Amino acid sequence: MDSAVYARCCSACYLQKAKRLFATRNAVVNGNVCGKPTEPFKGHYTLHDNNDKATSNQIKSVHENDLVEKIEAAQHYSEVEWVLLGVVIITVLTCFYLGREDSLLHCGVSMDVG
Amino acid sequence: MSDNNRKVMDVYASPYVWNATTEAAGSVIAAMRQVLNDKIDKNEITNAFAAIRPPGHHASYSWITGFCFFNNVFIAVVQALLDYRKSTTTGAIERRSQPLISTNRLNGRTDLLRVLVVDWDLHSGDGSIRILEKLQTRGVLLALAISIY
Repeated sequence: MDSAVYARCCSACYLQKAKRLFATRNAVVNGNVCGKPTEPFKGHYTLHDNNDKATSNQIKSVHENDLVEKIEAAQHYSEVEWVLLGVVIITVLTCFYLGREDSLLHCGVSMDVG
Repeated sequence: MSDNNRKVMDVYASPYVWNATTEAAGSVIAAMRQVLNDKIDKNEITNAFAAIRPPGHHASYSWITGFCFFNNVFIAVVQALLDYRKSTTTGAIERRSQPLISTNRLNGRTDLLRVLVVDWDLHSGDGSIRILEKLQTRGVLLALAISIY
């Protein structure tokens, strides 16, 4: 009887726990952990480095659509934040380059008031 | 507590949540498929263990709470019901020639797999309970083992 151990890539601490758990039972650890090859050793268990992702449709089969879409959208927040930060930095540098620091002050005051 | 006033509790979203949650749920689906496929094809893998985060048993169909975003186990359970069937003649597990695409198609079917979910935690698997209530699918049994409350 063989078992498969599925672990999410990058959940390194859980992989280590799984390894320790199954090592006491002569575990086999095959596959990659975070892209790093691990040495397979003999036994009756196989550790898979699983990169399979559930699709939106698979999740939506259980969860309501708006919840799925909200969480799916969360991954794009950082991209938006970086773009906004970039716009602010470019604006500040441009104002200093043009000698119009006073515009920044007005802008800051306006934002505070708003 | 109704679904409407219990949408988000004890959970914090980050840009990495979507990848983490889909990989966690995908791991359970992959493990389920490997075990069932190997059982059908009489290959060597007979059971599987999924070491995944984030967890899922507090996540209901419309709320996220208790560090849980999606109910990984029930996503895999539903996927198993959609993709596999129980032979009406031999009782053996078979792949569906045409996988079902909606949980609506599960209602009233007599060839559904029988699934036992054992939920062992300090707290009640409230999300799993609500999903099971909503699915109203025959053959899925949820066993809760609660240590404290």
